[in-house]
Amino acid sequence: MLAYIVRKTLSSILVLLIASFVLFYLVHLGSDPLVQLKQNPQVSAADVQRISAAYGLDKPIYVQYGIWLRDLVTEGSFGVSLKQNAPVNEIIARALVPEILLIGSALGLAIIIAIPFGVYSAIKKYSLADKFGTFFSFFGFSMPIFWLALILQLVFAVYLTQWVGTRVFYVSGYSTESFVELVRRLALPAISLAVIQIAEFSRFQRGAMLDVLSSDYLRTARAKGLSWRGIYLKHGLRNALIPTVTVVTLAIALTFGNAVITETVFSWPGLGFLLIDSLFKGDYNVAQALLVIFAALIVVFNLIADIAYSLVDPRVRYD
Amino acid sequence: MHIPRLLLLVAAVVFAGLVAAGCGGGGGGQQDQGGGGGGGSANLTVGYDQEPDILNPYIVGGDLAATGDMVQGVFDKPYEIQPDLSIAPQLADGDPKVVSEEPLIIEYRLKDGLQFSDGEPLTSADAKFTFDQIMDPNNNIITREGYDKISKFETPDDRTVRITFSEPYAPWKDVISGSYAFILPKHIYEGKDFNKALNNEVVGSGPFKLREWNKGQSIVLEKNENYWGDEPAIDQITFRFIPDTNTLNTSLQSGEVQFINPPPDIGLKQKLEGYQGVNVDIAAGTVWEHIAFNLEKVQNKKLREAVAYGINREQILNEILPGQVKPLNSVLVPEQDPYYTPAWEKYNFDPDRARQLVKEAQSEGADPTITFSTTSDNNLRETLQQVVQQQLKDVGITVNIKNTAAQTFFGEWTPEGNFQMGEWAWLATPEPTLTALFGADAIPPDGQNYYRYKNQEATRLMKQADVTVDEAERARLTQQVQEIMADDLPLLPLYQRPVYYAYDENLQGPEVNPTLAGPYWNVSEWSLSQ
Repeated sequence: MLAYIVRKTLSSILVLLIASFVLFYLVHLGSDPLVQLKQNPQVSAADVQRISAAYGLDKPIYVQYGIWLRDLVTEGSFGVSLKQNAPVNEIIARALVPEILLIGSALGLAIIIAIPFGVYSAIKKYSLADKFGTFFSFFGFSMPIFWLALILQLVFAVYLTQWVGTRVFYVSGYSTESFVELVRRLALPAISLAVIQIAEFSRFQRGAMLDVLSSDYLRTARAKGLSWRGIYLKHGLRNALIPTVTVVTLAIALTFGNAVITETVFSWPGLGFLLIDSLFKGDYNVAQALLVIFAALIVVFNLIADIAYSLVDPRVRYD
Repeated sequence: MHIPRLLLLVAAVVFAGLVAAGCGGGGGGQQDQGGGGGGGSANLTVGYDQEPDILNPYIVGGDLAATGDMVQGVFDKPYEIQPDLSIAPQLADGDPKVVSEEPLIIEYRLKDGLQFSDGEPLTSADAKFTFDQIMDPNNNIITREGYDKISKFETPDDRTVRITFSEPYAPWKDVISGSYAFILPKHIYEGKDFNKALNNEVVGSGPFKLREWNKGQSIVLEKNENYWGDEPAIDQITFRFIPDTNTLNTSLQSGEVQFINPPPDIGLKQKLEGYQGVNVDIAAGTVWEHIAFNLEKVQNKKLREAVAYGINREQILNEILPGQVKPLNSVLVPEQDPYYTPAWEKYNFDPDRARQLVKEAQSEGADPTITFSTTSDNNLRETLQQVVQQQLKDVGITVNIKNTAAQTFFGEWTPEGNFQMGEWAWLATPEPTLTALFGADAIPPDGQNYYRYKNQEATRLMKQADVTVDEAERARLTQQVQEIMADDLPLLPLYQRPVYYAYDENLQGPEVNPTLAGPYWNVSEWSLSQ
């Protein structure tokens, strides 16, 4: 097991290294921090050259990458934001709390709703609730996140406010003034982010539960005369959760990606919001740092999923 | 069905709790509605589409319009640009005086009793200090255009500023009213690193002062108790950063914000006007769109004329911005009086003439196929392109559309001349100078003449206009340049991009200022009624 983890970690580092160079190249290809200046008739070409040299933007791209990697490895620093003139680490740290709040509540909501519902629809296969679940899942899967977000904003922040006469939910924004203020702003983005996960998790949980329900040991348990509760919760759910653990772990990394859209639509100041902002402004170092972090999250959660799988299912061994 | 029923119950309880919070939480809730409730304090929330990077408008990073808009209420300039592009005194007392034309010396006097928000007096020494910061080579200044032609910056007394230019400089008003004319407090920033000191905190003399900046969320300004002018009616302005245009509009519709200044878009006017309790003001802006030719690629003048006659600009504008804009007929906007002349007026839609010109161009060996490029993801531009494509097809010109992201378009295609026909926009400033965009020696990398337009006579006149301080003479020269350019057709002007202000009907005071001064130029006069 340890050897496996070491091997996997080393290959992950290599993957990240390659990914970081490709991302570095793409970010530099796709955005230009001086584009605003170049469009400004009051700024001369000589001004642009002077500024470009001051930031080292005139150096070849592999040299810039080398400097970036050196600072990251030796100082743990993602460099300085060209636009804000502040350390990138500081800028990213600021976005972490909102990010974790959103991802955490969306995934929490998804798990709390999807797993019981998945189990329920497996037990009551083809019932009305199961059919509703199937319909909802396809709906959730096929709905574009930004569209759902717009509908939620209109219904719950505009029409509901007009109808109730006071504001319950906010169209967008972030506040840590109080718990209630936070919830009133967090609810809509968290729901819009959770819907697709609810659809995915509940379908998966239903499938896994159905597999388990038709297994021999469950039939044996039933034959022994165990209570329904013992059958479904102790023997059934426990085994049916194993594949779900993997799916949920992998979904954590992907949710960071989905959150980019959600955060932009809801002006939620997390990492995704920051990513879009920095890409638009051509703030190389911030965009680069975030993309590398997202890549690292995917790699890390893949590793965690592997390990978690072996922990919940003793039959799985990596040697 | 136990589980769903339980969930429903939980949801109902939570919802009821939130409604109660909405009703009871007078403080928090009221603040967002900005109604100025029982406490008598008037708080305004503005929805703003981009967060500034830093607050120092002079250095690199502060070149976004966002920085200018945030500090507009915090800093003052000697003169402010008015909606009609004239200048009016702000800190200054009366109009600037031209003491001498050869050499060019100008002088202005500051008002009596000016002070910064910390109560310290604002004097000519602060103006001199600001000038020194701009000229300090260690400072990462965006541009020193104009300031680098100042040979002496004198302060004969506390209230008088006298500026001597090393050469005649016609757009001299820029240095006392432009984007880089805010006066900074010497006593606060002296001896500090100018590249860092004003990035996150600013102190000025304006009607408002910075209260806090919640990065990623909002900037809050509050009333400056020491303001030298009339007390503003608004106590607090919160700029909430909402980059998504749809969310920005919905936030106004829901009443969470009371003022927005969204970029123009197809159908946006109707949408905003459909909101309850919202006023919409629209005016022609100072950013003007045009169709540009790369003269090295579209060399045949008859072909360019065919494009100019073959495009029905009225019809296009009715398609994309109905009832909001008129065709523009020059490289200046009419507000740039007395310099503007409608030199392109002659290019009225005339398909027969266009067809004839295409034939003549073909007989001269020109290929009537043109690639038309602009920035992608711009609804207005891309729709316009399609209409143009159709209109020119009718007169025998094949238009191929090839677009790219703004970064690549302005970063590579236009400077490298990698386009045939393009669409983009320029900003008209109160002091028109044409050399940087159309001068023969301003072809990249030496300037922004992306048209590769080389007319020696026009360049000579532009340069002469730049050093002619006498307004009437400068106007005559500038108009002559416009006539020559209209004949040469390096570009076809399209329209002035409209500026939209949409705001809660309880808010009074916004007056469209399409210049760089921005929507908040008169924010001290805004007020909120119940």
